[in-house]
Order: sequence, then C-alpha cells, then structure tokens
Amino acid sequence: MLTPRTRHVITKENLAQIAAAVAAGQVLEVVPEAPTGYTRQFQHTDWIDFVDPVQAGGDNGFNERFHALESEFDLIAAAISSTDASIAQIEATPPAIGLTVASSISNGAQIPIPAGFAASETMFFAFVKWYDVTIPQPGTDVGFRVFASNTGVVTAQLFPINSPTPGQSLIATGIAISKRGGW
Amino acid sequence: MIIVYNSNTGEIVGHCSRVFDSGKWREATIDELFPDHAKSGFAAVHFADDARYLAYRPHHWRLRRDESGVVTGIERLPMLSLTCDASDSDSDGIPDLPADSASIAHVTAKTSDDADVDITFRTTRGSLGQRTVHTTKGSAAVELRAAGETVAVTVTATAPGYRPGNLQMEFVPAQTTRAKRD
Repeated sequence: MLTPRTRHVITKENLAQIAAAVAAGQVLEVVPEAPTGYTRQFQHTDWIDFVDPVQAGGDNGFNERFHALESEFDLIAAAISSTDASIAQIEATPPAIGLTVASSISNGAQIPIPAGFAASETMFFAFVKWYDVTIPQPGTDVGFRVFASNTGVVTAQLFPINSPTPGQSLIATGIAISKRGGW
Repeated sequence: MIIVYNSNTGEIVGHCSRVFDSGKWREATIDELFPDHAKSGFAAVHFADDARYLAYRPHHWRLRRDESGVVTGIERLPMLSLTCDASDSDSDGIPDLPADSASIAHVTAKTSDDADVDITFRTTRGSLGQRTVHTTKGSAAVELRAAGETVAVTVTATAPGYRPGNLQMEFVPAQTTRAKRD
C-alpha cells in the first residue's frame, strides 16, 4: 500500500507498486501540484555612518547587497510562476460532475450525455413536461408513462400503449447527471 | 432543436430541444439521440427552438421540402374543419338538434388544402349515416341522426396526414325546439 495523503511521482520503477495498490482497492487521487509559496530570504543589515566605508566590492559592498536583492526577486518570480501554473492546471482539469438537461425530448430518444463523460458514469432521469388531453367519453383509457432506462433511452408513451386514445399529447424532459468514475 | 425523421417515409420520429450541458447550451446530435440511426434510416434537421412545435402537438407537424425534395424545415399538417346545417334554437352558440331520435343534420368536413382524402367520422352520441367518406373537391358530408337523450355531442373527423376536426353540438328537448320554431 502507498502512504495516503502523500505526494507520489509515478515512474517506471514504481508503476507496478502503484498498480498493485489500485488493484488492492486503494483509491489514488491526481491533484494539481501545489504552488511553491514564497519565503523572504533577503535581510538588509544597516550601514552605519562614518563606520562602514562606501565600497562596491566585498562582503558588505553594494554589489553583493544588490545581487542578493536580485536573488530575492528571482524567488518572487518563481513563486508567481508556480501559482500561475497551478491555476492553469486547475482550469485545464475537467469537471468532476456533469449535467445535461433536454427540456423536451421525444419517446425513443436517448438523453444526451454531458460532454467529456461516458454513459457508464451517468444516471438518467425523465419526467413529464406536459400532458395534453381532450377529455374523452367516460370509460375511455387515457394517461401516460414517462421514464428513462439505465442507458438513457426515454419512454414517453400514451395510454393505451399499443393504440393510444386520440386527443392526447405528451412531452418529456430528460436529465443526465455524470460523475467522474461513476456513481 | 433537432427533428429526427425517417428518410424513407418522411415521418417525423423524434425531437430534442437544445441541451443545457454543464453550463453551456448546445444542439443534440442524431448520433447521441439515436445511436442506431443509420440502421433505422433516420436523418435529422436542425432549426431554432420553437415553442409552437410543442404547443401545437409534435404529431401535428410534417417535413417541409423545397421543389427538389430537400428538407428545409417543418410545417403544420393541413387541417380538417367541420360545419353542420343544424340551427342554434336556444341561441347558446352551439348548433343543436331536437332529441327525438329522428331529426337529421348534415355534417360537412373540408380539407384545408382542398385535397381529396378518405375522412373518418365519429360521434359521441346519435348515429352517423356513414363512417368513412371520400371527399370531392376537398369536401365530404355525412348525416347525423339525433339520439333520444338531451346530451352534448362531439363529432370528430380524422384523416391520415391531417389535423383532426371537432364539432360541438347538442341534442335539446324536442318540445323546446318546436315551441321556438312555432
């Protein structure tokens, strides 16, 4: 097993170990790399009048001090770049949940699956949007049934199923909800 | 909106509105609605969502084609309209017949495109002289004989490829009708 909640780099050497962990039921999550952050390194030591000589070189000279500032700016730039990269990674990561709504869909049609997801990751629902009937004689069979199959095929049928009573009309609404990896 | 039709018969077999997909609107495709559409001979046409398609009932529409037979959209089916020669003796806006089991009204159905078709008549009360009549110059008539009970009547005319027509009538007390006439 791999240590949970720790960072692992997948390599050719540890691929078998990771595969074995997944096969054993361990859940691994791929997340964007965290920003590096920034901690200030530069610390200015005050110069003292009439004590410290004005000089370019040496440990206490201007050159050394300003080169230290350059290094500090490099650290800041690296931190900003790291943050940018993390944001870009988050933006590029596909959403974990997808939803489609077909406000009107006919009998026999399959509810469209959210873009980027598979049917196996999706749950389907259908319900009546509108049922219209001209009231027939008493005793005449009217009505409807609406549902979605596990594969998203909509059933929206009028009664009697094999020969619906005239004067009826039915519209269904279909919804598909997907979750990365399935529900 | 996508309309799916049978390319062999021209019959509309399905539809789907635009799809709200995780925050973005898009059109559904025939591939995702009917994955086996190639085997079934289905084809599709797209156009803007139109509430009239649902409001006027999806099965009351047909494909519209140009002169070369290319599908250019959809249009409502032609309709059947019904009239009768019965009077409105009680002035309630509904034509009536005396409920005497003998009075007769002529109910006429007319096709809105003046085409000649077989029209089937049905009534909820009374009796019809014929069930199915072929139109001449888009028009066909049947006799409706009154029943002996005072009830509301609905006469319906249907024909393949046409929106059905309905006519509301009523059988009223025979004495009332005669008294008014006298």
